[in-house]
Amino acid sequence: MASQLLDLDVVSGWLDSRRERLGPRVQGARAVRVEQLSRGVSRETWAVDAVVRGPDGERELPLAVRRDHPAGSVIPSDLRTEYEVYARLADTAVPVARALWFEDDAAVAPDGRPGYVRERVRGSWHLPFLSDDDPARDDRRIEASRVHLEALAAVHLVDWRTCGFDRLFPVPSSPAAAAVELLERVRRQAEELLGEASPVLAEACSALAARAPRDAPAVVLCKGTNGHGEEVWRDGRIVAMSDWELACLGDPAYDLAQVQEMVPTIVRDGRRVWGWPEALEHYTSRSGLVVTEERLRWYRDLYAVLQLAYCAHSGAAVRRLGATAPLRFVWTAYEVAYHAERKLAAVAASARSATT
Amino acid sequence: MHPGPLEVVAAAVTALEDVVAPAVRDEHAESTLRTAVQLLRSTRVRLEVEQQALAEECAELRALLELWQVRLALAAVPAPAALRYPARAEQAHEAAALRSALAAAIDAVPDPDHPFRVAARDVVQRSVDRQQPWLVDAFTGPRR
Repeated sequence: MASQLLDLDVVSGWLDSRRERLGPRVQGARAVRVEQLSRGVSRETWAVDAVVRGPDGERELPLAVRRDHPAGSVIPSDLRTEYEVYARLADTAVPVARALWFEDDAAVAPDGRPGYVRERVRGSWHLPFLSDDDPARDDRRIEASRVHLEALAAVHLVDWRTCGFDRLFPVPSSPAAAAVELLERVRRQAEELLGEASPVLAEACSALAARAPRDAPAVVLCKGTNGHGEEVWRDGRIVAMSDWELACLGDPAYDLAQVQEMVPTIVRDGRRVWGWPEALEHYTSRSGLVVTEERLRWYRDLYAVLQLAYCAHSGAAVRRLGATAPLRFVWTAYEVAYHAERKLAAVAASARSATT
Repeated sequence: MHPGPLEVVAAAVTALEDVVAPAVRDEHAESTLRTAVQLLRSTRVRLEVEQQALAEECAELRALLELWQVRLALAAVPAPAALRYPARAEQAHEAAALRSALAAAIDAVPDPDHPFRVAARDVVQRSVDRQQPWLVDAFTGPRR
């Protein structure tokens, strides 16, 4: 059955009924175009082009609607939490799209399903020059890398207590305990969702626990998935940071370990001009927080546990829904889970090589 | 009966790729179709080799747990499937029970250098490697 989000009349009626959320002087609203976006598969993302009417006439207002799939979400974090992250970051130095409201009234929500609405920020996630090894692109690649690291620094410098993130996420008992407590929490979550005990998970977690870092400099707000494909860029700047599904409070190394493609290694005439050592130095100069390569490696290994947990979340939906489970969930629980298991096996194997 | 399941799935893959895919215009449907074809490819290989892989895995897990059961005071090793030629589902159930037993035993022996833990990691690695034919090698052709 086609979604009601594809029906412009339904969407117009919904927006108009919430017009006070669209701006202080908005007197009416209608939708002129709606499209489901193919990026961001863990939840549904819809682009809605709205036109709002005020005392000075009409103006365009690009919006995004996020909601779970009918089967739920791929990631085991809830939609409301995702909305609350955007709402709490509104008055900080972190660039995010403005969250407008969380719709939980089934009587007015399209398809009767909860979702939230945020402004859609103009820009692009795609930085085609990143993978271009032409030396003429070096400056641009390094500058983009710096800009991204500065944005992460801004996230990590958020006063998370003042913004109320301690009411949204578990708070590590200390910076030193952040790694091991996160490991325990994610392992428990993966085991509950898997439905059967996993020897490869047990071995990998044992190896990770044995070398869990205790030298985190602080507990900070972490974004989770970040980097190329996750932020909105315009004119060489990040204008909106998106995808906060794996956000948490913890060691800043958690985020640096999840950077996607934004720290290219560039070697010219046998000399490294950019890479992780330079990136970490730049990050520290902007945040005042030290992240060692050792902690970076640990959190990269931990990611296999996080990945298995979200794959197991998809697998639980497949078990619950049977033949009606969306294919994307099946694929995540199948192929992606296997890749997580391979990484876990490699982490487990490293326990032996570390002791021999 | 001929054609067997492998031929049936292979023919379905060919039909979806050669006949259905070129007619699909919607981007989301096209992507979903590519994923479906890949999963069918995987299933074809799985039909061919998984039972043998499960039998090998169960034998290895059982041997390891039986070898250490008394010395480490481990829980009883789960019983094997009752039938001489168990169905895939029964084999999978047996493997899951043995894996659970191994996971519990790993947690019960905290020293990662204990010979049991070293042997457990080898068994775990081989178990992961056995799935590669249908979870890595089978995925050929256009992706999602």
